[in-house]
Amino acid sequence: MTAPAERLALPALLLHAEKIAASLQVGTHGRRRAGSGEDFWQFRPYHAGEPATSIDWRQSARSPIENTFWVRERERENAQSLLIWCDPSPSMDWRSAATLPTKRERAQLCTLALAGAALRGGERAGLLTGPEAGRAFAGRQILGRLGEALLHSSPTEPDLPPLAGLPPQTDLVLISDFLWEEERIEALLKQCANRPVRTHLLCILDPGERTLNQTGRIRFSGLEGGVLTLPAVESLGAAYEQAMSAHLDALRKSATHLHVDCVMHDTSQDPLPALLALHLAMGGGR
Amino acid sequence: MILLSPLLLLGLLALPALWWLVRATPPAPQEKSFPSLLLLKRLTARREDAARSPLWLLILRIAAVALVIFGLSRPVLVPHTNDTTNGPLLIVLDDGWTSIPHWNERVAAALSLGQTALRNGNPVTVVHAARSSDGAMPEPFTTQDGHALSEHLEHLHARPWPVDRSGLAGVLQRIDLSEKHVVVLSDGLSSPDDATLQTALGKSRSRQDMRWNPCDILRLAAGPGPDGALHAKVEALNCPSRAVTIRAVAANGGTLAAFPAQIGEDKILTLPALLRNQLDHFTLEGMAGPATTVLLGDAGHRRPVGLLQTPGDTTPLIGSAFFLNHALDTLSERRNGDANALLGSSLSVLVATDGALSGDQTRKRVLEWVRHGGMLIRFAGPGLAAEQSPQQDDASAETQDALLPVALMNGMRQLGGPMSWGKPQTLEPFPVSSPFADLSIPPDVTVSRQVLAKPETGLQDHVWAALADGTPLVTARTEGNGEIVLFHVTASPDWSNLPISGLFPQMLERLIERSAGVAGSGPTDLAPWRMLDSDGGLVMPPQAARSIRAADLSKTNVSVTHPAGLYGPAHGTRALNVSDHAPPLKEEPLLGTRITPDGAHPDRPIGPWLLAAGLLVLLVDFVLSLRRRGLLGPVAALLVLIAMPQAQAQPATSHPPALPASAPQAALETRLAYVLTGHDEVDEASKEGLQGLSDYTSARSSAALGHPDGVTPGKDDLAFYPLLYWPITADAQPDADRTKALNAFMDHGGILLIDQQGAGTDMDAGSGGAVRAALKRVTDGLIIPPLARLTDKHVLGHTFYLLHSGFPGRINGQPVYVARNGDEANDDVSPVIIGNGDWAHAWAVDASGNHPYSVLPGGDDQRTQAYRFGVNMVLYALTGNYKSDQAHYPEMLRRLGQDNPDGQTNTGSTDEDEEDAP
Repeated sequence: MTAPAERLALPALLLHAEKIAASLQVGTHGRRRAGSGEDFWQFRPYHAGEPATSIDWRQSARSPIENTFWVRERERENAQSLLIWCDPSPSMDWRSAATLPTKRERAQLCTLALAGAALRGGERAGLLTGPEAGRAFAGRQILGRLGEALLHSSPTEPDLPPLAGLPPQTDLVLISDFLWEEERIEALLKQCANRPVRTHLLCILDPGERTLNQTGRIRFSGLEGGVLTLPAVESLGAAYEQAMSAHLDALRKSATHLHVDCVMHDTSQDPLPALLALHLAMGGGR
Repeated sequence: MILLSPLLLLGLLALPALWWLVRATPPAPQEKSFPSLLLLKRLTARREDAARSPLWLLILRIAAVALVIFGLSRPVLVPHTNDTTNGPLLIVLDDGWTSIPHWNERVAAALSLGQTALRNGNPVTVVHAARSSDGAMPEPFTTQDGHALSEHLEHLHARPWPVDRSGLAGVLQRIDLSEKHVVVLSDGLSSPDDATLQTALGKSRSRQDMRWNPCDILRLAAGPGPDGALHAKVEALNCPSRAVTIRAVAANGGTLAAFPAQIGEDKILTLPALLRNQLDHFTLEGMAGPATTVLLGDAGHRRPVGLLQTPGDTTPLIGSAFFLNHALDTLSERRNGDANALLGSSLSVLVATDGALSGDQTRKRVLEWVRHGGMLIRFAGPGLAAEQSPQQDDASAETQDALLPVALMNGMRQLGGPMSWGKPQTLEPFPVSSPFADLSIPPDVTVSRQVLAKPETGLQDHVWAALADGTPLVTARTEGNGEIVLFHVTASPDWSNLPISGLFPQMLERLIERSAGVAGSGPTDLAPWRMLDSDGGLVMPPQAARSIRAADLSKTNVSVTHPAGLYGPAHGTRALNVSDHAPPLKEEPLLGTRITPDGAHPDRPIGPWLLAAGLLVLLVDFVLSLRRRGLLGPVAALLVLIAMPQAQAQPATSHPPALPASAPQAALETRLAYVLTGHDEVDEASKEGLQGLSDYTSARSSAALGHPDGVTPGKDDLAFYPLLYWPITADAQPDADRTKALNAFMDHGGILLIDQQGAGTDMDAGSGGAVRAALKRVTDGLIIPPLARLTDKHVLGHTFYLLHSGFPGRINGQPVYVARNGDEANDDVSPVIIGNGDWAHAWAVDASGNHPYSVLPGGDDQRTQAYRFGVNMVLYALTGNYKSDQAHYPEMLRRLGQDNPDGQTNTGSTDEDEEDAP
């Protein structure tokens, strides 16, 4: 059973994601060789032992050479897979103002937009969370299923993306706030680098996290547990910003070091620029 | 303003410390959630933000503490006085009845004067002008302590008698007045000994006279005037005009009437006779006191009537007493009872219906009572007419005659009727000498039967009412101090319609009024019985009160030896009032320089008020700080919640408990239930067993059963369950609540399945005796009908499946017992099924759908049979003996066929068929 609010949220989310996906439009990539694609590639003579059903009888009849059977070959199309991991940790459920979406909402929108764009382009897309984690599907109608899986993720999701068994030729997109220990980020990225995948990071942050605009004595309770009381918070704003930029720098540094794209996104801004940048990094412009 | 504990002001030194403390304590932090504390933990606090409490909060708290400290230092507000006299002070306090209107002001003024003198270091002496209740002049009270003075004054109260000027002069002469300043708090009322007091006061150093508005000293005089009407007059000292209200009050304190009056006006108070009978005293509204209360005493105005009746007399519309009760209720205070009880209380009139005066003892007592001044009213009737028939020389003849006003003839006389020439007689106008004189006689009052008086000489002197033919209707005779009156008719309308006419109560009223006139003279020496206190209430007389000779009552003035109040015996008291025989109120010459009481207020301590204000401010601070923390809502809700149950407690006990807001799940679908035994494995088996049976039944019949419930009878509501499975364990203990609940369950159509769980069989050979003992123990008190062994002829054998091969559970071949057939109480449905089959284990299905318990001796057939028996039981519980009725259908149809072998020959049936055919 899902709450009615979530049911209502999905179509709106899908519509929005489709709109963004239309602007992204990831194309198909012809492999320029015979394969199981739709487009014609070449005719070739029939070899003995091939199934008779593969013979193009019309072409054979039209053939100038008697008793030569022709087989129609199609261009091989090797669809790319896109696997997206949307951080399920509770720290994503936060927004600094009621006018902003929570980080999770924005992350879900980005996930579906990317997946939608990939599916439009005939590629395969899938999630790294939910019941069908790690499996990529083709077909535009699959987007709704992805949205369902995304919205109703179980609370027992692992904290880190399951990297085992990733198919090769996969674009892996990790969407999170990456407010983790630097060592943990480093370890994750190294693991990704060891896989035959191309990894992209989309770091979503709330403007209230970028800068600490609070005053007075505040008892912070972390969404992932822990309580911290800080006095005179207004005097700590500069230090916090420093810590934040240091953290982000470390993130970018380890990403660059391991040849991983890293795109920053602020929930107060439109997601399209960030997604375009990500798309570009994935080679959508090819 | 002065401070009584100025040292406590040192506490104000703590205020800067408070300032520092409030600033040093950090304010409560705001609660904020934050996604990740990762970065925040890396920050180091630069400074504590303690000084963030707003300034107004600081000021509020410091003000509260300052108020409390000031309050504790006992500040006292001293009124400004321009009294410059220095020297010992003597206060003469008039505390007689005249001081009652201004008593509190007098005490306050005395306290104020005394406190001023004491502050100047002078001793204060208080002298009282009225005698104390032991009759002596109170000793002068001298003190130098303000506390003792206020204690003394607080315990004073005004005396309900006048001040004694000569006694006061005597007291003053014993005191050396030469050094003293004298302030007289006088009442301003003149008395014969004023000159003596003036002389006694002349020796003092200075004299002042403090007087209050004399217009408030009121004296009420009331009583019957020479013309018989009630007169009242309110006197005041030197008062031009003032409106007052005189209230006439009954003995129970209820107001009978209120009369507006002016001071000095001679007011005639008119009261209906009935109200006048109840009148107890007069009082002035809003001014309680001995002078504003006029007692009347109860001699001459209360005339209780006793009604002596025979048992059948109160029958409505037939009995004599019914009419008498109705007539007397509007006239007087009526008492019912037997002769002993009636004569034991004080009575003016005794009314006796026919036959009520039976028994020599009663007659003797009544005669004695009449001789002591009572009035006996008798009514004739068949009994009186018959009594005249026997011989006259009977032993009781003397008293019999004595209780009749005239000698009577035998029998009664009937006037008119089917066998008579005569007609019912009307009444002759009453003779002038009769108490009924000038009562108008309705023309339709007739008498059809009467007892006749013996025509003797002098009879006419006894006749108070007669018929048109001259025969007496009412005769009377004086007996000792009292009178005996005889109505020659009944008090019911049998003999005449007099009792239902308006004349009847009028005649009774005249007789009752007359009864007062024959009251004998009271005792000569009137002892004080109840005295008026200063609030106008009746209290026990004071020590000094002495009795008054009855002859002197009209000459006695109120004093401490004869306070205003009631004198004489408790019944028939006579009243002495302040206003009786008193000379008119006159103003006393001034006893010194006149001073007004204005401004003479005692010191007012303001400490408590400051304390209260301080605490209030602290409360405000508390609420505000709750609000700052955002806790105001929850705390207010909590307070409301705490207050709610107390407000609800009363209705909750008087009303039945409210219906539960949500229906129990068991009410929404049919569920089986099992009794929780407390053994987990047994309960689990019961649950699995009933679940298995429910599933089996749902799959194979139209009964759709939900999940079984575990219940505790006595705690859970059993009303929803058709079948209750009760496994008996060896350690089961009796429980009165459970027994009661199960009895109610069976009584309302539920079926109880008691299972000994195969105790004593191959499965569990050891526990047979223990379980049987437990069964005996726990079913003690259950209303179980006579049992019989279950056979396949019983309805249970064919409610769903036709069972012919026993009723196995996990154990095969165990007997099952049900109620014997023929119990019509529950529609012949057995409320209980008792067995040893251990069915739950046979039915049990675990989570994976397997049967966890094997059956003995074994085989799928046995389990199927167990399930089938279970289905039969469920359907038996759900449908009752429906199947047994159904089993009789063939027989019923056959009998119908016998009665009507061929439908064509039965005309009635044919007609019906024809009608139905189209």
